[in-house]
Amino acid sequence: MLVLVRKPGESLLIGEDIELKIVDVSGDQVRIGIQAPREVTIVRKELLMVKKANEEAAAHQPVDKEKLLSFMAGFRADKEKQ
Amino acid sequence: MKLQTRDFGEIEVAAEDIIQFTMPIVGFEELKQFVMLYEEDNQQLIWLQSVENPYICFILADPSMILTDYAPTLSAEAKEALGEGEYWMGLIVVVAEKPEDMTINLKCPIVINPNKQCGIQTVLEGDYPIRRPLFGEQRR
Repeated sequence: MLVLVRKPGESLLIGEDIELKIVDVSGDQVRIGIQAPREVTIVRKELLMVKKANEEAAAHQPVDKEKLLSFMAGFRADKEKQ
Repeated sequence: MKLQTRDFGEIEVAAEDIIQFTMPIVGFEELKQFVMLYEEDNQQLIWLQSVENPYICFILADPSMILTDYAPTLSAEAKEALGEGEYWMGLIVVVAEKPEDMTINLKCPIVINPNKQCGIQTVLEGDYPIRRPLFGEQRR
């Protein structure tokens, strides 16, 4: 991985039309400004994992609610016994 | 209004029951309106049905049913999207054939403000798992 040192207010370019600008650094947080063509998708990396989990959650078939509730009730009874 | 759903057939919902998502469910950004479906005597499991897509329905679990110590702090951004009020929080369940394979997402709860009929999915700061077994370790 290429690692560069930048100061707030400084930028770097990826290719010709993507600019990353360090807007501000405070404590352990860095604010980054991004200038990129509209067709470039920009997401926080952890959001990709969230998206996958959401898609999996939405992909279920109709669920037997009674069965699910009885599992949960059973689990809770176990928990209360402990 | 009448709503077509895959899991419940045609259901009747009131306009005031529709929850507007002011921060979308990640990956489902085009879906802005949902209704919460549950039985009156059991609100520990809630079906979050999309108004716009009959095939999309999330299953949410009330965290207090599963965890004793889940009280995450919401970001200022999340609170702003929800407005003032008392919030209800639900954890998205990934349903699987075997109960021990089911998971809940502690990192990204659905938060609803019932007073304002709006909701969000938020990504919490901190070390919360995206996939935690629903039935805890003791059943494994």
